[in-house]
Amino acid sequence: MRNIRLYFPADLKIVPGIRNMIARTALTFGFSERECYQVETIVDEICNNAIEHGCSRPDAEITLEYKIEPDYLEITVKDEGGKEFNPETVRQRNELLAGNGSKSLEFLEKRGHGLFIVKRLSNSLDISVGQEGTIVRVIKKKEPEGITKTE
Amino acid sequence: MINAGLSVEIRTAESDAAIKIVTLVGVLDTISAPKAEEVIDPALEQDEQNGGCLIIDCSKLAYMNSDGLALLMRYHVQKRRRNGSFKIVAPAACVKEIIEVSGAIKMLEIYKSEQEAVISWRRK
Repeated sequence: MRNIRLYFPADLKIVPGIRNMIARTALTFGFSERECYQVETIVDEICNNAIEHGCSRPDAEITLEYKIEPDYLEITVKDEGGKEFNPETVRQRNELLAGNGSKSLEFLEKRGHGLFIVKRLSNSLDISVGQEGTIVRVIKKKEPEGITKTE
Repeated sequence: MINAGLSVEIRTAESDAAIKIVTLVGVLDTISAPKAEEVIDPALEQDEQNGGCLIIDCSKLAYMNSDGLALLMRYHVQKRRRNGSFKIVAPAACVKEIIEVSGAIKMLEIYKSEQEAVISWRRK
């Protein structure tokens, strides 16, 4: 098991560097290129959410923990809280997408459906909201060689 | 996998002035999507009243997140409301996967080449 812990300012400009680094690390530890893009997207979306919804102070800080196991990755992002953010509302809104395309049309052109994408790309998504902030924990399993996940 | 920045090229199709072709090169994400919008929107203003066809060439797009997808969906909705057409060309596998898992695949027209997209507009 290998753990990486990062602290970074709540600045969207920092996220591309963070997501690239973690995706590259996943590649080093045997995840496929496709899985690494998925990991890059997962990190991107949950970090952007944390910055946009979970930080009210100008000098707020995001904590990212990254655990590498032989057959899975665990990514945890914690913000400081402060802004109104109800992940359940976001999740319910995103669920509309899965069923009826026409009803989702206006929704899709708006921002904020990143969590839905994270849920679809990961094996587990857990969100806990407390007074000290929101913690998003994602597990991404390594697919056995030769097996490609299809929707 | 090292992705940074986006360049946007906009042109009118030689064969049909109603077709605008936008080529995106690089990364369409939370940082670059608003900048892309600033460049693309003014170019679309001229044919806003007539609908027209907007083709986004994604063949050189290396990465896209939900904010990039939201931008594509905005143009899709805009064109649909004005009786125009919106088409996406040759997204890379990682970009197409975002379109698929989001459910947007049910709404967007995706073509393998610019030529195919143009032909589909003419058949409309």
